[in-house]
Parts: sequence; structure tokens; C-alpha cells
Amino acid sequence: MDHPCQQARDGLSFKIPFRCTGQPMMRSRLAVFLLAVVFAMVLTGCQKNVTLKVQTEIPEPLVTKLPLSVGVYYPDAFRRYEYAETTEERGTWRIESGDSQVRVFNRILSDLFSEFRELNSPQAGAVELIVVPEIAKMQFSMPKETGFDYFEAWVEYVVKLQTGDGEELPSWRFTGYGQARTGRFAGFETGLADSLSDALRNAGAQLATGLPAHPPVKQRAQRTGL
Amino acid sequence: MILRLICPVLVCALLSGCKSHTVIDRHQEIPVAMESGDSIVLLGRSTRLAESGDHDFVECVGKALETRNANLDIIEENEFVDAMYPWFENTTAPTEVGMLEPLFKNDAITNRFAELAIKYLIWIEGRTETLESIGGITCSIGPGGGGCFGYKSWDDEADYVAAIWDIDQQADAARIGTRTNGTSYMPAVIIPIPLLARVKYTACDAMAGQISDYLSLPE
Repeated sequence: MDHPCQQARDGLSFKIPFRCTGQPMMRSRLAVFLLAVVFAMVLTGCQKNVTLKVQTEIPEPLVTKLPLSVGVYYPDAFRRYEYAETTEERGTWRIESGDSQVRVFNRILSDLFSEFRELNSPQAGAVELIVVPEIAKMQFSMPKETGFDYFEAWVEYVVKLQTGDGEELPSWRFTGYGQARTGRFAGFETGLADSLSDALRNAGAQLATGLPAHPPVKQRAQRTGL
Repeated sequence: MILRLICPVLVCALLSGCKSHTVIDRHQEIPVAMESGDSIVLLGRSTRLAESGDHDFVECVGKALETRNANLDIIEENEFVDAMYPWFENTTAPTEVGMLEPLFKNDAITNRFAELAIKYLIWIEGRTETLESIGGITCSIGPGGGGCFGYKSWDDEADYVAAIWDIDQQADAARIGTRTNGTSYMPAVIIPIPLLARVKYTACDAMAGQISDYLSLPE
């Protein structure tokens, strides 16, 4: 009976073992090493390490100013808001949006109220209403996760309110939603950044239309307007 | 040998292929009243949750209308939505014509509509989707070259509705529906040859024709 290696060389087997082609142990180790490298490359290829900065510009809102003097205090967590996630499935993500968040809120609030200023502390009381926004949650999804051909992003806000005298008022919670289609030749970073930018624009729209209708704000504006 | 195989497949596909048919449904409630200087806006939206409208289709209808009527003043969707921010965003836009009344109580909005001389607001919703596909194509590559073999066909449907709102009367002026079905084929003998039914484009052209006809615009 022929040696298995001989059979392979004679073309009787399509599966030629490495050991049959000379320097058996060296070849075997090389194969294991190559497999490990390929496996590691596949794993790291699926993992992402992404850092994004969301840039948003919103149009001038078409709103009628409410007769109220309003101060806004941005806590550090809001002003420097950064979404961070590290999971096996998604990899590592860092998304900075603090600057854009402040820009959107300033733009809307300054157009929404007759007097508006930024405050250094939530206790400062030379205004009728103090607004303290917080980000409760940020989420996003990618096309490969949902099966849709667009990215989606959600930012949930809690807007805390108090009077200039320090009386706490019922807070208001809302969620900004955005989506962006996958660009044909654009990277996923572009799609995700666009969906987050859209979520901030949507948050601005909800702030401009929803805050004046929030009962504590509406009542105060009506009272002052009389 | 290969040519003998390719030719009959291509001829059959071309003869039978790329069929499409369009059904138009138009319902008119208010006679048209376009005057010189009036403009229209085309906007896309979706009834599906968390899905924006088919903006490519809206853009296509806008271009087709412009091609038919060079003098028609069409305000671009993005320009209008920015000019009306925050009232015509996905989550804040009026979903029925009755919701215009509270909006028009806001002088800023009324004035902006007047500035832009908007006579009609046209909401387009719908989608193009593949209903069914059969067959398959296999591609392979080797040291001596590569190629694809097989045959695939699929049915697409483009179903869109345009709701035309009369801004002056704050009422539904007309509703136009177009539904186009078409079958596309892709035979592959070494090279895949797509024979596509341009379902979306056909629906777009039909929609533009109907809107143009409704607005009594000279072609």
C-alpha cells in the first residue's frame, strides 16, 4: 500500500495535506499562523473604532417671540456631551455633539423669547424662566442592523424649568429623531453624522414648536403678555 | 457556440422584456386658479413610521414639470422646508389640509407663504418596490477568466399619490395617483445584460403630466 503522501502526489486525493509537501512541522505551523492572522483580520475588520463630531446648522426659526425673559444654563455634561460605546458587536464609538447641541438650543431659545441670555449657574435669578437642558439618551442604528437603507439616530432630552425665584416647574421631555440615507460612495461615518445632524435639527424643531405649548411656559407667557 | 446561445436569449428577452403599464387615478375637487407669478411646492412624505418620503421621486417630478413648463415657478423642497423651519419638518408638518388653519394664525408663517407666492402645496407619497423576483445568476472567476451564467427577472411597482392643497382656500384641490408595474430581465451569458423596466421614471413622467394637466399649464 502506498504511503498517503504518495497517493496525494499521484493525484488520487484533491486534499493534499501540508505534511506531505515537505518540512511537515514548519508547514503546519505556518498554516496555523496564517489562519490565526486571517481570523484576527476578519475580527478586527468587523470591529470599528470611530470618533465623530456632529456639526449642525439650523435655519432661522419662523417663530413669534414670547414676552418672557429666559436664561439657559448648560450643565457641563450637556455642553461637552459625548456618546461613548464599546461593545464586541459594534466596536468603539465616540460621538461628540456638545457644541452643536448648545448652538441649536441657543439659536431656538434666542428667537423664541423676547429676552434671552446664557447663565453661569442655574441659581442666577434675574430672569423670569430658567431652562436647564439635559440629554437623557442618545442612540443610533446602522443599515446592516435594521435592514433599511438609512441610518437612524435618536436623542432624548429633558428640559428642566424653574422660575427666577427658584421654584421648580414640571420638566419637559422630548426626542429628536433623524435619518440619513447611505451615500453610494460615502463612508458610514458620513451617514451616521448626517443622521445625528438631522436628529439635532428635528430636536430644534420640536423645541421651537413644543416648548411654547408646554403648560408652565404657555401660562407664564400669557400672564406676562396681558 | 456561445453566440448561438446568447442570441436567442437576448432576442426573447428584448421581445418580451421591460414591459410596464401605468394606471392613473385623478380626483379633482377645486378648479385650478394659477396666475402669473404664482409658485408651487413639491414635498415628499411617507405614511410609514420612521421613513421619510421618496425625495428622489419628488425631485424627478419637479424636473419633469420644469421641462414641460419652463415658466412654472417651482420652489425646491429643501428651500421651502428651510424657509418654513420648524413647521414643515418630518415630525411637525401638517398631515391634512385642515391643519393649515392653526398654522396660518401665525403671522410669520402667513407672511412667508405670501412672500414665496405659493399657490399650491403638492404632497407626494409612495414608493417603488420589487414585488417578486425569479431566477438567479452565478458568477465565477478562475485563472483562465471569469463569467456569469443564468437568468433573472423581477417585477417592480411604483405606486405614488399626489395630494394638491390650495393654499388660498386651505382645501384639497385634487388628488392624483399613478401606479406603474414593470418587469425587468437580466440574462447572463458570460456578461450580465440588464434589460430594465424604468418603472419609477415612467411613474414620475405620468405624475408630472397629470399635475401639469391639472394646473392647465401650456406645454
